Amino acid sequence: MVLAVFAEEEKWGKELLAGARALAPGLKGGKVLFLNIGPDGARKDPAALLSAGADEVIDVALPLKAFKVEEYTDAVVAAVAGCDLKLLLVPATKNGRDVAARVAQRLQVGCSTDTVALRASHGSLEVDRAVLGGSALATLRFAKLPAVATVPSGVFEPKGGHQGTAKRTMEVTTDARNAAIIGIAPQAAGGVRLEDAKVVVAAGRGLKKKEDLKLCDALAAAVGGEVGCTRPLSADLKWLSESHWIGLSGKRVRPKLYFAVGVSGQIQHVAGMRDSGTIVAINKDPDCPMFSNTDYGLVGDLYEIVPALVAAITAAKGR
Amino acid sequence: MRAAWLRAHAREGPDGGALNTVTLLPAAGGGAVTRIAICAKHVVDVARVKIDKETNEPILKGVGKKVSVADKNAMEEALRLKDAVGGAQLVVYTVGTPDAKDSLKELLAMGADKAVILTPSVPLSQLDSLATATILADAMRADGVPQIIVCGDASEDDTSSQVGPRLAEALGISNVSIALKTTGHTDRVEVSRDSGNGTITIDARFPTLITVTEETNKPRLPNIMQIMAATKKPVELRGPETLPSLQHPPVGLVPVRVVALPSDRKGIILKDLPAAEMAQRVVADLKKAGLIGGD
Repeated sequence: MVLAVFAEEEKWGKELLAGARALAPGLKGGKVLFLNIGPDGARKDPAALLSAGADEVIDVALPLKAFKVEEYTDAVVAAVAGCDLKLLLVPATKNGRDVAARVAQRLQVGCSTDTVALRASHGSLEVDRAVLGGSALATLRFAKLPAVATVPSGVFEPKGGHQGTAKRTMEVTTDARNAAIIGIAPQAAGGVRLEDAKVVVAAGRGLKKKEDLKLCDALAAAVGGEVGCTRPLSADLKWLSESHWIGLSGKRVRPKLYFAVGVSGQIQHVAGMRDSGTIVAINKDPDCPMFSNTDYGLVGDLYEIVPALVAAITAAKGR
Repeated sequence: MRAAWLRAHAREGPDGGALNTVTLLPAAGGGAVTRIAICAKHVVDVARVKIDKETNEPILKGVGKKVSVADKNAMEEALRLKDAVGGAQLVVYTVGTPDAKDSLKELLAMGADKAVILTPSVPLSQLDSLATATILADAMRADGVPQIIVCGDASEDDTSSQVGPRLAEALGISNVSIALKTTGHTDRVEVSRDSGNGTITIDARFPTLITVTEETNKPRLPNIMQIMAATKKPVELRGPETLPSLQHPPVGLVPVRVVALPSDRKGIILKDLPAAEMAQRVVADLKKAGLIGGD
C-alpha cells in the first residue's frame, strides 16, 4: 500500500510529502513515494525529499527539454504501476492540474482540483474544495481509491527529520502522442512566480494608465512583494504579461498579505485570491464587491492612499 | 501514437455516424481537417448565487444560467483554427439537460454548425470530471474523433480544469492546456503555453486537444443576422439510451455537501479620513500582526 507525491517544485513536494505522511494511517497506506520525474537537470536532490517524508524516491529521466503532459503522465502511471496506490498528491499548478487529470482518467478514478482539506479515515478519503466562484465549499468523497488530488501551496507544512533511504531509478517508455516541443522561450522579462510570493499587490482597473503601475511597484517594493493584476490589465490592456493575471483561470494565489489596488472584486478575480491571509483593499467606490471580502477596506483615491501606505510602511520598518 | 490514433478512430464510420464499420483512414496528418469540436457547459451565473441563511447552503434554484465564460474563448479559437485549416464542420458538445440550448444558441450564433446535448440518466450534480470526460469521449468516438478539439480551461461553477486533459487521455490524443496562442496548419497546430518557467511551443499533429482561457483571445460578438440564423441550426438531443456512459456514468468523486464559505474577514472599512491617517492605522495593525517590518 502506497501513497505517492509528484511535484516539479521541491518546496511544494516537501509540503505534499508531509501531507501524505499525515494521511497515510487513515488510508491504511504504508510507504510514501516521491516521483522524481523530469529531464536531466530538473529532477530534485533525493536526500532532501527523503528527509521531508519520502520512504523512497523513484527517479525517472525523461528525454524532454520542458514539461509535456503526455510523457509525464506515462511516467507517473508507470512509476505507481503494480503497487497498491491509495493516493497521489500533485501541486495545484497549471502543469500539476494537467498531469493529475490525465493520470486520473487513465486510472479511471476521481480527482479533486485545488483541494484545501483532506480527511482520511477507515480507508476512505473526503476532501474540501471551493466551488461556485469561491462562494461555497464543497465536500466530496472518493468513490474508490486510488484518489488523485491537486493541492495549493500552504495546505500542508513541510516537516524534516524523516529517515527515508530508498532510491530507485526507473526507465519508462513514453508516448508523445504525436506532439513535440519545438520552442522554449525562457521566462519573459517581468515574468513572476506569484504563487510563491508572501505578499501580492494586485492592480485593477482603478489605475488610469500603464505608468501608474509604478504606484503598485513601489508598494510591492516596500513590503517585499510581487505585483499581479486583474484580467483586463493583462488580457485587454496588455499592461502586464499573462503571468501576472490573478483569477479563476489565471494564477490562484494565497499569500500572507494581499493588497487589492483599484480592484473592483469581480467574482472571477476573487476566486483566484480568496485564500489569502490578510486582505487590504483600496477603492474609491464604497460599494464595490471587493470590500465585502476584505480585512481592511480603504475608501478613497488610490493615487493618494497607495503613496501614503508606502510612506507608512517605510516608517514602520525604520522603527 | 499511430496505434492510439487508430484506436480512437476505430469505431468511426464513413459518414461519421455508423459505428459498426471499421474504415481505413488516411495517415495522421495526411488528410484534410473535416471535424472540429468544442466542449461547452451551461452553468449557473455564479455571481448571482445567494446563500440560504437558515441552511447556509447556496441557492441554485431559479438562478439564471449562461454559457461558461471560457467556452466562448474556446469557440473563438475553434473558429480561427477552422479558417486556418481551410474549413471543417464545427460541432459543440455539451453534457447537460435540454435547457442547455439557451447557451448553445450563443455558440451557434458565433459560428458553430451544430450542437449536441448529451443528457445522462442521473442528475447533473452527481457527475464529476471522470463522468463528463468519459461521456464526451464516447460521443465523439461515435461521431468520429474530431481532428481538433478546443475546451475552456475550467468551468465557472466547478473550476476543476480536468475535462480537457481527461478527454484527450480518454481519446488517446495529445493535449496542450492553457494555450496562449495557436497557429493552425492543414495537418497540425502550433500552440504556445506558459510552462511555469517560460513559454514553450508545442507542435501537435492532429488529432489534438487545446484548452484556452479568457486570456487566449477576445470572443467575437455575433450580429443580429447570425443570431437569427442560429435558431435554424441543428441542436441534437441525445438521451441516456444513446451511450452506455450516459446510462451509467462512471463517477470518481461523490458530492457530500456544499456550504457557503464562511467569511472570516475583519471587514474594517476606513473612509472619510485623510489618506495618511488611514494608511497609518492599517500599517500599525499589519505590523502588530507581523506582516510587515519583520525583516
